[in-house]
Amino acid sequence: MNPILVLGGGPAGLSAAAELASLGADALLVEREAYLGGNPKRWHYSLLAPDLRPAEEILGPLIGRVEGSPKVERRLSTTLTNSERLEKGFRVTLKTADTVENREVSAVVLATGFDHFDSRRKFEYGYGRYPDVIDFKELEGMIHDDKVVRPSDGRAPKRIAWILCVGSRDIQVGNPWCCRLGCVVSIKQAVEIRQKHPEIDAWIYYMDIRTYGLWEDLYWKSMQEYGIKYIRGRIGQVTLAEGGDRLLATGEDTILSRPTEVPFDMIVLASGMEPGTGTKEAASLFGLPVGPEGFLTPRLSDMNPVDSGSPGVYFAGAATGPKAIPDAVTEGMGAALRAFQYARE
Amino acid sequence: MSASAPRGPPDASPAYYPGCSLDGLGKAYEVTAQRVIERLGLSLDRIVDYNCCGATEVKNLSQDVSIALPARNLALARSMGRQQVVAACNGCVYSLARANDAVTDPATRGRINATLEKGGAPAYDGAASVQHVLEYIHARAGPERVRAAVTRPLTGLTVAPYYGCLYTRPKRYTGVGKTPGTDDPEHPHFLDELLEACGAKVLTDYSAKTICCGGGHALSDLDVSVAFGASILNEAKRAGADLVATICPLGQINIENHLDRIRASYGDEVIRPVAYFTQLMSLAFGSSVREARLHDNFSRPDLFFRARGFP
Amino acid sequence: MPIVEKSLVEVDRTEKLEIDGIDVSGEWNTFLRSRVQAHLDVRISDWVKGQPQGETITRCWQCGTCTAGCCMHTDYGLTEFNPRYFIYLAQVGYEEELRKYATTVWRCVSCNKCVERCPKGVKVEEVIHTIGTYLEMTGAAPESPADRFDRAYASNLLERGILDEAALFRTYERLEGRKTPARDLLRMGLALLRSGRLHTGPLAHRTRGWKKMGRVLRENLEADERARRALAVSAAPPNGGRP
Repeated sequence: MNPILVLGGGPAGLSAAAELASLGADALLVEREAYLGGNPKRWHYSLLAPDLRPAEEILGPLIGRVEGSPKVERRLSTTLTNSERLEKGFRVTLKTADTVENREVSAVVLATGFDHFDSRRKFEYGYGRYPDVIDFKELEGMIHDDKVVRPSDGRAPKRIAWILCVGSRDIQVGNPWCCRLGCVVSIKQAVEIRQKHPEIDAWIYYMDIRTYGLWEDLYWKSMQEYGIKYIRGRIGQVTLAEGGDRLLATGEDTILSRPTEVPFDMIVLASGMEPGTGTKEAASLFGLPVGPEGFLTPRLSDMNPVDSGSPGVYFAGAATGPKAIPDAVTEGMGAALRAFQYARE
Repeated sequence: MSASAPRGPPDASPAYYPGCSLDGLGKAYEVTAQRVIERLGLSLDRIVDYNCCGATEVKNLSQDVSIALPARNLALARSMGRQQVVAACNGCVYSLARANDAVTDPATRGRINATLEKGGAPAYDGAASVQHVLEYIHARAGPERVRAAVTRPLTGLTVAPYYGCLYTRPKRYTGVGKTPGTDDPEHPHFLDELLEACGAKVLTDYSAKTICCGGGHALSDLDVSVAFGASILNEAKRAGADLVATICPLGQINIENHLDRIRASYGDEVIRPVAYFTQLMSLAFGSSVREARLHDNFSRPDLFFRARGFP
Repeated sequence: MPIVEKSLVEVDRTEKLEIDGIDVSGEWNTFLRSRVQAHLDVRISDWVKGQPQGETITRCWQCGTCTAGCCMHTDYGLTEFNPRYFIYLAQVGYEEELRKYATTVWRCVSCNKCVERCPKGVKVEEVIHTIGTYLEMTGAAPESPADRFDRAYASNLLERGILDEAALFRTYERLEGRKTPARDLLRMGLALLRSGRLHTGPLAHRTRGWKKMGRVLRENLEADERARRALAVSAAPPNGGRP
């Protein structure tokens, strides 16, 4: 049996490859970057919601299972440039900086993931213009290294604001969907910061808080135990405050029906999830339909969310829409099982 | 894709829509814009027998009439064989782009074309893109060519660049921020770059860059339009500007029309000369104060420049 | 406890009264209105939704982005001008509350920052104008100066295809019953005339072949106005929406 191709080395792809190995199948794991771990690794995610466990504790064992298995062939810094359907499986072309190689695979798991929204496209928030407006993925790294300081002058902030739904639920940037994680990750970041630095004020501007299911607990705790404050209103613009030292978040406090204009030392944007570059490429390489949002669409998203509808091609993780790590890991397992069954048939 | 996005190779000589202001109160803008465009080796072809665009007023009374008015002009541009329309007034850019957006709906387009036909105008196919003359000059000539054309740099002049509201707004109509070669919708900078190329010091962080001039209610809500005119001048004063540059006849006229009231309520020290950016560019390209028609402006930039030795 | 919300106080009559040299003037039959919102009505939102300029009202989810950037609310400082709140009142049909803003809604200056930023694609500026039109057409708001100006503007423009600004100015000032000092007019008129910028009356610009187009558009305009008015009258709740 030819190996099963797993495209993407983030949580979903790692999970799929590890699962294939445990089923006794050969996995060919292809990753564009030079490392495994996907976006969580790339941006040095700190603690993961909802259990506030370090990202390494979750990713580490997954990467370990893949790296330690003789059944998983890892191809880093490699992209897929062509695919051709065979009677069974596919012939695919793998490309690195200096090699091109054709391989035959018996099935494919697409775990091509997402990209964080480029916050520069939300012009009114001044990301890329004011150094102390940062993206929450950048804050993850700061929290991880316990170096939460203003990029402009290296000073510790006294008051931080989070703006939710940046590049999500927003027709103006072409992304009408909810990223599912912006709320819980922002709240988690505020909690982490208040745990270590109770002297820093944390304010969250929200339209509605979407902490699904059991995550609601973190939301409640954030108010009750960590004193995080919530203002219901979407910030309209960020400008420099008088003197140019601090940032001014202008919005409407919709509960007061009054304008609000509060100076902050740092503003954190909860940037949304967009279909990954790899997801778009995979759609065209395998001739798969994408939804209006640009994510891959399972044939029966309610009954079988890992099945593409195209024989031998399976989906896992954020390739089909914004997803949390546990869901991505679960889908990796499901896709591995289906791919294995197809390859063995 | 934005309704305003160009769909093919650019016209050698796009259609030029003057609108009612440029042919009347904004004559100084018209004359100097033409001179600047010529000097930069560009050319525009005027739409003859154009009609007023309806600005932001007509749409409050009738949706279809507010689409048909600008659509007629776009149709005329298309029958000249052009796919690009350049306008110098923010209000015109807004109306034309709004009509473009509306006729992407086939039912609306059918209705509007029936009206145009009844009135004896050609049908509109929805395929013209709309550009502000500032964007046009920036895209086609750019700061480098402007710099090369300068014969008398505006050295020592500190300018507050005032863009006003509808230059980029809203991007769903204008395509700004989404279409390559367009300005930043929240922090526009094309005017900054062109005036810097003319040798002026430009206050790029001028805080009133994109605020409203209140011109829509210049007569009907006097307090508001005077207050906005005053804050445009006051912010310019605070930032240390000698002069305010405008890109829209409505903004220019609204500020100047209220000078006496602004002076009475906010004091003489906020008053600054206000001039169209093309007047300033003309000066830098060697026009005399008179040729740049600076005496047309009620805020008297002509006196200002003469006092600084401009011929 | 002092009553801070004046709008909730209903005063039957105020009397000036002096007894034995002591001033006992006061308000009689003063009641507190119920603060319970017990009456929801979809007629106004249906009407607004039915207008092409108002159809995006159903998209609004009350995030406040429009109000946050609104130049009337924030820059001019008229905090009672709150487009999000107006839309909300129209959505839930709380006309009684909306009528408190009958002389405020029209003051939007059409800067379009709201339309630029609205994450849901509500054409806020047009929706607000449509709500204002509804208030006016149902008699809840007087015809506003801006509406008078819009009408004067449209009829001036449709006359020749090109605006006669000087005539518009004169017409409008007359409608408002204002007298512009002759000295000002003369000064400005002379300046414009001298620089060849005054094209009014017989000198006014006109679009060649406009006659037919002007007639067609005027008919459209009038038909639209009639249809809106008829619809507004049938939509208006009796008694201003009070239960």
